Amino acid sequence: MDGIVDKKSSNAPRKLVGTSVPRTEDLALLTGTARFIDDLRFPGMLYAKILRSPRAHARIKVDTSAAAGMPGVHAVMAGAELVGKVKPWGDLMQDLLVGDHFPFALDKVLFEGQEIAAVVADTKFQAQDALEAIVVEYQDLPVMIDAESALADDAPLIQEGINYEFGEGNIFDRYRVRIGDYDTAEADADLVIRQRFSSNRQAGAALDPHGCVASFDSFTGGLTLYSSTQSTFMLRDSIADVLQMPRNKVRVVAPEVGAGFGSKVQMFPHEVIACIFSMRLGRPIHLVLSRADIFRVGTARNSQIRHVEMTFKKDGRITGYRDYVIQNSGALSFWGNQVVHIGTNVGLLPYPIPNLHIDGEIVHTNTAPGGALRGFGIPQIIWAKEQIVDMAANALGLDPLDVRALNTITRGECPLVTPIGQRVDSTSIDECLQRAAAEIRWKEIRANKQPNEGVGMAISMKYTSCRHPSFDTDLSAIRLRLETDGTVTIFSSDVTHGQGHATFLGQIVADVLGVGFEKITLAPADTANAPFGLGTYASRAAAVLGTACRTAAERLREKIVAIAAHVLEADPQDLETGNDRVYVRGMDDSGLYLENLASFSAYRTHQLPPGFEPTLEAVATYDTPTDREGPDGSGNFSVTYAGSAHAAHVRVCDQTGKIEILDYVMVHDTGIVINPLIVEGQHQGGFLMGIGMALGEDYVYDATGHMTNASFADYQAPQAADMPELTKMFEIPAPSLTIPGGQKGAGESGTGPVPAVIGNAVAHATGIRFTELPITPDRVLLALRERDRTGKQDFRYPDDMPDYAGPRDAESWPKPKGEMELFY
Amino acid sequence: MTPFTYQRPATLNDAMAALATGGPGTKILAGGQSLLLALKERQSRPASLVAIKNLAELLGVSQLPDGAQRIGPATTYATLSRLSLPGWQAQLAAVAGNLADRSVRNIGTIGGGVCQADPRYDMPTFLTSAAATFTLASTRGERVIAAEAFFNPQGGTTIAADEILIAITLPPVAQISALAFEKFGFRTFEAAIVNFAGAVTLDEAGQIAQIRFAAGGIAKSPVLAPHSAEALRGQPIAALNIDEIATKISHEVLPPETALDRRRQYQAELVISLAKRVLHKLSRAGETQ
Repeated sequence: MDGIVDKKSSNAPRKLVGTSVPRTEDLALLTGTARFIDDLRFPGMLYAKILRSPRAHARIKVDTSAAAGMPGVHAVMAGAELVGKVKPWGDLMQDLLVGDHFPFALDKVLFEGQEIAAVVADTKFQAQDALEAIVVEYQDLPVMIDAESALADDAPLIQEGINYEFGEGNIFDRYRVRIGDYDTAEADADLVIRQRFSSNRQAGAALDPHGCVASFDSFTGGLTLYSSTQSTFMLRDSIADVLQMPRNKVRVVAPEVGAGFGSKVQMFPHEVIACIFSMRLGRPIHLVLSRADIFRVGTARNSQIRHVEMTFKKDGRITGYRDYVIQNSGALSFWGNQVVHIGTNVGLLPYPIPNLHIDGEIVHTNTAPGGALRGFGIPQIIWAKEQIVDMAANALGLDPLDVRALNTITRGECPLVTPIGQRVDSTSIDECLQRAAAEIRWKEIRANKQPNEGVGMAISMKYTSCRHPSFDTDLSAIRLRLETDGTVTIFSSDVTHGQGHATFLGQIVADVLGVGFEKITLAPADTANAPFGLGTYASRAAAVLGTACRTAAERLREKIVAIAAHVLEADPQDLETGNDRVYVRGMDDSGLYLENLASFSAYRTHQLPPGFEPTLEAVATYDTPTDREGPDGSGNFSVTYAGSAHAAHVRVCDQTGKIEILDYVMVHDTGIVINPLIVEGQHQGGFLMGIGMALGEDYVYDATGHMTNASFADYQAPQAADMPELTKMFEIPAPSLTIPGGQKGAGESGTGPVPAVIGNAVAHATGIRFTELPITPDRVLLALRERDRTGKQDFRYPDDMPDYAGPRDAESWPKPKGEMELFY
Repeated sequence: MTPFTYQRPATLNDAMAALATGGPGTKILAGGQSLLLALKERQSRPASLVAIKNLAELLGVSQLPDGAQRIGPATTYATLSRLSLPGWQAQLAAVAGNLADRSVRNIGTIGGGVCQADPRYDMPTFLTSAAATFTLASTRGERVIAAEAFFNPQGGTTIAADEILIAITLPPVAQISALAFEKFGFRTFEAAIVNFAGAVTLDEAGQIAQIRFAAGGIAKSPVLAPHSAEALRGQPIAALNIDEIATKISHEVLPPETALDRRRQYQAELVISLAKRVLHKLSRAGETQ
């Protein structure tokens, strides 16, 4: 090598999409300089604290009078004074706004942690002192922890005075799917597997707490809310609506947000409370929640009881799926009902099952509010369905791998429309399945079964963004500005909270504009200057926001090229962008710098083409071509579908019940991956939340509705020391045909299959089928001992434990309450 | 936190004087691993704190002439984990070094831990099995009590309000032939659901002269299994029916009729599993005699 370098190839602009560009975000995070919500300080800022109910269900009488006179106290507030002044809010159900949320409980608390009163003081400690002076009388009411008890005919009503269109009693919404003819499928089936599965509550547990700083400007009448949120515009519109303010007087800004996982995708009472205090006092109000409060009010994964019946032919073909879902969404829930709708629809994939009969009841209990959480209902249905696939394979004497391969949609069949109406534009899930089996050594381990060891697998597909049945939109938007020094600013209202927006949007912009990656900056998400977008959730950033970004960049490029063509007296068709320049194709070391072109537009407008509007901004919005939910439950909610096939090799300790993951394989179809480093991180994080759901996490309540594990010391979130090294992660891309860049969502596809994979692996290892989550060591060990004591084959936990009282067979199978047909 | 007076006495005598005159709202602050958390959550609201973690009299480990080890209560777990003590006493470093996580071990002290007296955190169970003694001092004088007398079966300890724990003493190395400790929690860094320790003294023939079992996590203080232990006296350590003994121990410390919920039933099973591991270790220790 004599150092001669081919000048042409070295100067040719390198494309960044598809490469592991180190994350722009990481420097601030790793050096501790990132500013989270609790780091914000403003002149004159006061501190608010909320008094929360220690009881789960009680009539209350509140006396705040003693708090007002406490040292340092500026204001005290409770619910009664807000009635008629603040508009209740809630989810949009089938277009109907339900007003079951209010900043404070009024005459009754519905769950432990519900807001009762709040105080503002000079310091947090004075605010805390003043809270202790508030007197609350509690008159306890019966507490319902689980959804089945809340469904009992004589169950006390939790939400009083709220009329739900599709529910009554403690049922606040229903779900129904009728596709094909399930009864005929059952009559014609060679095998029907009928099994009740239950799943757990899981916390988002983002390390950055929920919290906000509200700052009202008494002179302009403008309200600014800094909040650790996933969705600035939805929050702005909710705040403005609740306070009945013009939306151009409310501004929401997101500081650095240390993750959300779905738990920050709605407006919370603390945000309303901080705003009201700030408007009353004309001072900035800091209100950040404690970890215990976040567990209790920060929304948790909805637990589900699924009564699943699946019909099979002898060869393993799935012909029908019937389900009666009871979902525990806590005492009030903004997103809870949507979890059943969307999670069930998409969770049926990758099997195009022709006959579906699904009823769902979404139920209130005296527990923490249910909300969005990574996977949004999909892990719950996969937990049931993918275990039934194994149960059927065992019953039919087939290999579960072969049953999956027989039933799954394949790359060759796409694009296809499934019986429920999903339009799957592309997939490699069939190839992911085989790769996962090969990598885990499926055949070898099964052929050479070791005691207490086993392999399990599951496959699922995750929506990439979603048209929610509760509102008819699925859009995000980007504004780009070429600044006068040739740098580029990206404006987006979709909050980056771990997805690496600054990095992957920068990669897209760099490739389209030919601007250096280091010259691109993402502005903080701020409704005052960013275009309207829905937010960052539902694995939508790369595909939906990324598409808006690509279009905006292309529009901006057109403008830049038009100026350059004028100055260079060239045909725009002959111009290329790259290396921070616009140049005539083939002459990539010449041309005009973007810096010069931008300055023409600002300071030398005579250089512009005649009639050219002197602006170098471009805006683009992308709304996905997706459906609303049909009355029979049909519809394509997602623009494209990411696939995941996972497999595990586990060992179960017969002395402690601990499940050791010896090996874990993840094979994903994320389409065209913009940044492999970020996507791998998403899959690792997705796996982590899946394993927490599978092995440990749950909201533990005592009989009074007190959550006993609302701290990181007690809550069984997985920790690094207990996690397997993930070395077997693979991508088999099937580029989306709908998304112009071919990308698919990455954020949640690592979570969906995990509980079912572990369930299947443990069943293979021990012969015990777990139908209840999480599969904790105590459950495992007691199940092993009971299996040995009874000698029962095909032992199920908890179904075959002595104290189990739930349904086991067709005779005891429960039916939905009320006539579903009446509601539609 | 709520306001409190903070005192940092220069000597042990000053500390005892502060306690003697401080009244019921006065508490000792050692490493602060537990107390600071409780203060922040306002679960504990002392009027006055007496900080003792820098008192020279309470720091370090020294060997007494008879081979016993006198442990200063203000010694952190991290310091203990780096000790190399002879024979079975080396288990002190192993237990301290595997307790909770590194930041807890750097802050937490053995004295603070045993005065907090939560048997899920290993040290009370270990010290009880080793028949360690606890020296308490006040302006009224000193007294030395056994582990069983130190840990209150109703929870906490039997320390009087004006007393300070000034030493924990492990018996002479020759007094115990082997000691084994086992624990299990769902996660590596968390409190044990059950921990279990056994300490055996053998005669020349390898027969059990004395054996002592302690189980933690199942009650508010470590639970001994005297009947199971007494039945083993005179038996050869290398030829025990380990499965049977472990089940007997479990039944003794956590009778089946009291194991009515899932957690208690699981603990009963874990006592069997951990007792088996401990007995296997002890029986192997006999081989090297």
